[in-house]
Amino acid sequence: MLRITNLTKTYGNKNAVDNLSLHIQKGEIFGFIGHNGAGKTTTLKAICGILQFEKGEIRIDGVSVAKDPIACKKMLAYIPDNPDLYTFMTGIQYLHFVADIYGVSADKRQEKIRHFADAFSLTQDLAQPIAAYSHGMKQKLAVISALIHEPKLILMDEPFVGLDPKAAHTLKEIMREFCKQGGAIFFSTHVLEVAEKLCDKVAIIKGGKLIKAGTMDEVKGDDSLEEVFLELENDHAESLT
Amino acid sequence: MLKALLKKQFAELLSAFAFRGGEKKRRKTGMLVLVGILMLYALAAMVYLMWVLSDSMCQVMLTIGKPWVYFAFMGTLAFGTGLIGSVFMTKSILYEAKDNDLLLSMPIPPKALLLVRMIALYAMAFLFTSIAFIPCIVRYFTLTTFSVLPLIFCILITLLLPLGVLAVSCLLGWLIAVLTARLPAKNLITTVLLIAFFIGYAVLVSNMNEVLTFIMTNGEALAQGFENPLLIVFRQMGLGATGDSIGMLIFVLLFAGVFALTYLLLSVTFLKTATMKKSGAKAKYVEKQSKSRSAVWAIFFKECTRYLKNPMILFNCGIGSVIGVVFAGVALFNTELCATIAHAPIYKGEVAVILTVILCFIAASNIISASSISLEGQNLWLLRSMPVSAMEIFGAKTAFHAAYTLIPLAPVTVLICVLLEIPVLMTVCAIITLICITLLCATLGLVINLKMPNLKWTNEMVAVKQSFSAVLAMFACWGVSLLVIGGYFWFGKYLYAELYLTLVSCLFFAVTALLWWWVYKRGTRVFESL
Repeated sequence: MLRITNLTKTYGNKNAVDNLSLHIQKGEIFGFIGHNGAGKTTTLKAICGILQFEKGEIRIDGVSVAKDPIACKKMLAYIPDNPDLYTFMTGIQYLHFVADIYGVSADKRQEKIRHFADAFSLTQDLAQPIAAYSHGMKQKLAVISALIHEPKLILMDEPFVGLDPKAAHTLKEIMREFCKQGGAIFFSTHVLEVAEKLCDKVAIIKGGKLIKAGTMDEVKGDDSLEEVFLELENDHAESLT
Repeated sequence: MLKALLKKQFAELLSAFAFRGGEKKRRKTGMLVLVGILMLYALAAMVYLMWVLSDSMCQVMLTIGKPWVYFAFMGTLAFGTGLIGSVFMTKSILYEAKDNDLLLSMPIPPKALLLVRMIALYAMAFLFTSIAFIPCIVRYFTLTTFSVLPLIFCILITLLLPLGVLAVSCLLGWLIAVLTARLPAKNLITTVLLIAFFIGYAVLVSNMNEVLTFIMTNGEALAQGFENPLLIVFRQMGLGATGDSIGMLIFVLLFAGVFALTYLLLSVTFLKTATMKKSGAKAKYVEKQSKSRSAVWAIFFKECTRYLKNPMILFNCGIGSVIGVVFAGVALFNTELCATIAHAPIYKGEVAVILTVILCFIAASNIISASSISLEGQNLWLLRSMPVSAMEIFGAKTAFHAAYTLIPLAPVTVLICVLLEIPVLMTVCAIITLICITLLCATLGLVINLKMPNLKWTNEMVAVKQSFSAVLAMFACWGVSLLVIGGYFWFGKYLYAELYLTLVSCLFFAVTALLWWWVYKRGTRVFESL
């Protein structure tokens, strides 16, 4: 579904992402973990076509992001870490806007909005302007808007930040269901317990470089993901010095 | 702490001019010089206007031996200029900055935050009042014998005038903030207030000649007018400016007192007003059968919602359409004047060209597309992550600019052409020219904003009002309009008006096509790199 090959993104002289290669298959929830500034958000933004990159290739379902970004964007949905949505719109206007952009039919969108807004207990707030939404409500709206057009791949940057426990639980359920139906999810998180329970595969990145990737069992073995992550971080720091 | 806050406040103001918002890069020196030249030009034009007015007023008032009336009048004018220049920004700068939560969470006393924002507003008011008052002082001292005390008092008045402006605009800003938070139809109220203000302003400007002639010939009546208790402070200011110490003292006490009281009131209520939750009943969601639109229409309607839901933004970058409607209203109320022009022994084509230029100038006052990229701000990721091409986004943005301009201005053109009995073919040519200049201005604004975006604003008004791309687009579009009249008197008058307007339309169309070629080749890449 998503194949990243030797991706390199530089800011000035600094490699924010350095020769990164990953492969995410259909039906997989793929966790992406790393410390602040490790290059997670840069990678996610490069995949969804927000950031241009210097080297390497990103393919979504075989289509190159660099060569045909519009076709790739049609297949994916992106939820950023801080959902800055159009505050001048109401929630329902925003959902219709997204549905229009992705060409979702009137009936289909109605059904999706009803289903996901109820799941996230947001139905009663849909007529409110987004300016009046809390961070969590914006996050819920961003999630609903990502699901409305039935993407094949969802990219999420810290999706659980700001969500209440019930909404976080609902999101996890939706993520599992989405992948069960053949979709793929690539998401970054700092909450290692969530990654450990939710992900089929995980990748650890530091300083823009991939330091470990594989199935959860391959990466953590008998230890906890937290222990492995901290150990890998330290090893990598020592190898650099 | 105050110093740090002041630095932040002024850095925000200056960054709109000195930085390329999207890339955090400082503008090139050449561009900064161009900014400076444009600013100086605007400043010089306004100072010149005030100088001409000061010159005639001062001579009249010195002749009748009432120089204080001169200062009182010019002071009132400076006060009005300052108020117009700052009143619409006050509410948003004082209470609606996006960094409110951040700053209020820091150990900063709300009073200090208020003070810093008031200082920024003071600087803005000072700029406007000085434009009107400094030429007045200079003209007075070049026509009278120099003495130190009046000069000191005049300098003091120059410094205190913005304080009065600040007090009034802050009180109005506070009142609007409190009212709009409590009343449900806040956008409607703001729109009504803005239109009422604008109509009042238009009436005053259109009658300015009569007002000034009356003032010049009735110095005594003007002096009596300043006896009005509401204007007593300006009378004292006038007396103070001519060296009357008691008048000066009363003026200082009144202005400083009003400012101190305003600051006190605002500092007590600042935290509550800035964090006031908008009341009013929560809108209830009722599921309705929805319609689907194409992606370009969706972006077009998104632009409509953005601008139409914020009257302040629309008023600042879409004033042309409002002026156009007022212009039509004035024409309808002056049908006799229209008939006189229609039957005057002049070539109809000349009337048609002049009318077209006026309408082009009005259309060019709409600078919506020049802030349309900047206004995306932190939301830019949305469009960038969606499956729409940059060209579709640009198309929707310029289409909104064109629709907002042409929907009111095309009927206005027809109406005035009918009133002026302009032949049908000339009317058609005038409308085509209007359409072409609107498309040119929409594209030019987009190009300028792509080259000079400001995506890092903390208040939308900064992206619109203090944006260099908006200023540049406005001057450039006005310049294009002036070229039409310049070209007419240079060579166009030797042609039929229909032919001249057709040539102008073709030229505008060709330039627009060239600009779109640039947008397609380079603009899309610029957008992708933002």
